[in-house]
Amino acid sequence: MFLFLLALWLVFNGRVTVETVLLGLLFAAAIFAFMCRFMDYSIGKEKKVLRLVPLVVHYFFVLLVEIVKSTVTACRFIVSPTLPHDPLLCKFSTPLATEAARVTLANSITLTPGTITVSLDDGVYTVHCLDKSMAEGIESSRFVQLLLRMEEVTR
Amino acid sequence: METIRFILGTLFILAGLIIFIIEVFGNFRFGYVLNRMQAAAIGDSFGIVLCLIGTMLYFGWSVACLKLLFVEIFLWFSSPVSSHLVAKLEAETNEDLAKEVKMKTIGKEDDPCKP
Repeated sequence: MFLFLLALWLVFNGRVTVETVLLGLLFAAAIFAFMCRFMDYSIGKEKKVLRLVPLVVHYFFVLLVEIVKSTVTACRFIVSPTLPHDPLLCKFSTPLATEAARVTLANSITLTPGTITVSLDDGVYTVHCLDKSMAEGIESSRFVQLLLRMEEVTR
Repeated sequence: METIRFILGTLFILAGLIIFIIEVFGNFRFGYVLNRMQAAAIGDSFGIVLCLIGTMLYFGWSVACLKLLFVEIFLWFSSPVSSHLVAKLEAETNEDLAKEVKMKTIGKEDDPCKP
């Protein structure tokens, strides 16, 4: 988080000079201290998060590929005059335990065109799909596997 | 190099625009709210990314490019939240939901569920 804050500062600043880097270090440290004190962040947790970085990058690329694939599918449903779509509202649950992983999965499902998470209660997802073919295998997708691995790493 | 970047950027932006056109078309083609939202989600998640990648290619390696990356990340975090809220509202207030969509619980077959 500290590194992220520093990067954010440098990007918004637009120049990398000794002055901006020093000021950035100061402000990032101040904000991080505030977060540790009042917002349930801590250096130990940050170390765990740092180990997640490769998995997060992997997850991002999987998400991108899924979005491209389902965009093509959804565009086919829109453009084709004959292909009928069959909307479906399905409920399923996943073995994900932490709140963060559940929310990430819900966001990813909504982000992929053709599926929208309608509600999420205690790990039970209600997902609206444009066609029932999109709901196949949704409860054991690659997102879920990756998130399970992330949970193991941070445990 | 400059020309290649310009052509690539233009191609990305054009692809993004085509996706937006399909999205708008889908918005009018589908009759029901939740289906329309699916069409809208196409442009939200992928069309905007293509447009931003095109703009990033125009800028090249610079601070503006990184700022656009942050815009993209922010959009990807915020747009699912808003579409989720609209979808939830529709699913919880529509009494004739069963007419519009089929319902199914995965894991337990033949068990129609209520949202």
